[in-house]
Amino acid sequence: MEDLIQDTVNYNSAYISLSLLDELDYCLGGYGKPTPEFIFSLNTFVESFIGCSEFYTSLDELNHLSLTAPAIFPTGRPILNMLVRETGLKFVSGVLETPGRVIYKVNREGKSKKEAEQEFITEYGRKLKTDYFIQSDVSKPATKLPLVTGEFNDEDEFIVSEVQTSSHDLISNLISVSNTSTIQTTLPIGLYGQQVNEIVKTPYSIEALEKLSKLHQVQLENLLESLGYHYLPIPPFTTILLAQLDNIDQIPAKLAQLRADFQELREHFILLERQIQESPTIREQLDARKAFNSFWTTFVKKYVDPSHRLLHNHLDVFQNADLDKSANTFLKSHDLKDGLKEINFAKIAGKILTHSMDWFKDRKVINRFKGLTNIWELFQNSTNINQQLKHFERLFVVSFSNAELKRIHDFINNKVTNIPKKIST
Amino acid sequence: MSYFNKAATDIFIPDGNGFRQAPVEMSGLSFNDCITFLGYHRDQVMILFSSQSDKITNIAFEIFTRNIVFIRTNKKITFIADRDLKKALTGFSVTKYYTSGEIKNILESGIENESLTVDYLASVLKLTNVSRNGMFYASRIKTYLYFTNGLLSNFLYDDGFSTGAKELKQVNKTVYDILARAAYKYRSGDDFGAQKEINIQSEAWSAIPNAFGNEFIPLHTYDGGLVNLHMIRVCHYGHPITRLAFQEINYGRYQIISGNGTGDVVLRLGHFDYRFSNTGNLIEFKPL
Repeated sequence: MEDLIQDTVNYNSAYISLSLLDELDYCLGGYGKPTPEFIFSLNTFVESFIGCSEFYTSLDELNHLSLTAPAIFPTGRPILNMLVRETGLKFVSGVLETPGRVIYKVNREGKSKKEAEQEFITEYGRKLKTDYFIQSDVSKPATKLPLVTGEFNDEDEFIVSEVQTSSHDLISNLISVSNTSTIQTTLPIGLYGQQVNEIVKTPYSIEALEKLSKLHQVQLENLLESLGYHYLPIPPFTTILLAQLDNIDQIPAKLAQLRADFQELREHFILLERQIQESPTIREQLDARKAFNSFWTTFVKKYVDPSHRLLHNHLDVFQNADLDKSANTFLKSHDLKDGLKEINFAKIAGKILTHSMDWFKDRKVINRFKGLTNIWELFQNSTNINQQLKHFERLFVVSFSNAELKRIHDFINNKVTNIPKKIST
Repeated sequence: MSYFNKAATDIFIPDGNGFRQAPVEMSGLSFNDCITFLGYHRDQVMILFSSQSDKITNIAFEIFTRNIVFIRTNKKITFIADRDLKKALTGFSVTKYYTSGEIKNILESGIENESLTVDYLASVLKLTNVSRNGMFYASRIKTYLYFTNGLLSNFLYDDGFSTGAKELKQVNKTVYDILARAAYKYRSGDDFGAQKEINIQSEAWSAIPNAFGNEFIPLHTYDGGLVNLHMIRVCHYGHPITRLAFQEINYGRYQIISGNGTGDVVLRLGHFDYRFSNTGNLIEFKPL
């Protein structure tokens, strides 16, 4: 029975934002029409759902979900339900200690916990929809996410509070307990922009990398080539999905089928992450990546018009080198450069000299944000987007004007740090 | 297959492919004490009272399964044969026994008593790849389960809102359809409002005597076949209601007869006038 219960974050996992799931269920559950921002939401979800093995959210978001879903989505949640049925939705321990604003307080008066929660949903339901459902809008990007969380106190009261949190806080919380190398993040467009801006402003310290390259007897150039973002060609999943549909009700079943079809893809992601985690030297980590790239070259050959995902390559060093401390500093200060100053290189050297088996135990990573949907490519005037727009018109009976699409282009150009430009330079 | 045992207790526990008499310490224990003695919480076990067998009186199962925890027999019984067990289980079906109402009661108790662990539910519901924290689908009971720190903390259904309504839909779809028709007729385009009304009406259905055979139904029938069960509960069984709650549940179906915001307000619904005080309390209702 013990084997059934897993409490660590596994390989090839994704953090999925509840806001994104809300938006998907809103449009795909028939509660409302898609906006141009939804194109991104759907694409990033489909990429993650097919590419990632397990899905995590934060405890705060899951609490929020259990209290709000019945009110905001009274006739059901096709996408959340499908995700949970196919993979489960896990969360890891760790509660944000942000003080909350009490929005509802009632004595249970003999009611069960479930009845008290149900009563809250019945009485407060309409406000839940107006106050806590946020549809992506690049002209009004949300910096904080309002979440509700409930608790039963010793006085037999049921208290619901609102907590304001940022996506960064939520992701950091997940990463702080992750034992695997990378976390895929699946966010709505506004939060995606914030995340990209945060992660690209933290270049590696060259000094740190030089020391690592010497210690591991690899060329600094090879090391540099293996860091940062690269293009990873992938099948145009969303276009493939949309082309198979007669109506949007078929999306959950077709998506589950697509996920099953691409199991091999996920297995190779897991293999890569495991090899990187278990390789005793960076040289071997680089070899693992070469093997992975070779698989991909063959894998995507059959797709005439692949998309290009942005994949972050990473190195892995072990916990005793105080990289955790560095990572934590990064997560708090948003500055990896400062964080890396705290690496204890003497400890790394010491471990290598002794060839300790502990070398590859309990390691964490420099950068754990694995893949990003290539928003720049998605909204180019590409075959892919043109095909998707036609499908949107057919399935959702919506068409987006040039002005609406320009709004997205402007957001991308003005508000999101250009990662492809960094790759090309 | 039969198993002889020397000790004389009326409790039998599983032993390989059969059963053996329980340790003498279990002799004379209550059901709850037996359950505790065997390492279970009361909420983790379902006790079936068997009327089919003259030897076996009760069978305790792990919830949602046919896994037997113990069997209680007549005092004289010293072994349990397969045919005795089969006879005692005549007509018992896990699928039929666990109605949505029964599932709801078990899960609610588990949440209340913090007694349903993820390990236990993973075992009895055959859940795989679960963790101590998360949301997982139990296909056997068609329910989404939330776990926090290893304990069941909430549950939801596919259709989200309804708990009371889910039971009604399973037990009597005809009545459910009537309630749903009424709700959507007056709340077109408002899914939340409609589901909320269906839920309240479903709760009334389970609360009033004789349910849809209730004697007062003719007094609360409207629009050629629609029925307001909640107002039966209010008018004839003392269920409290405020003016606000009245206006919400009867949205689109009542008329304001008098009231200017300073004194009593009279609202007409179907065959009755309802008088509310200026503080919103129901003072009286009178037939037209």
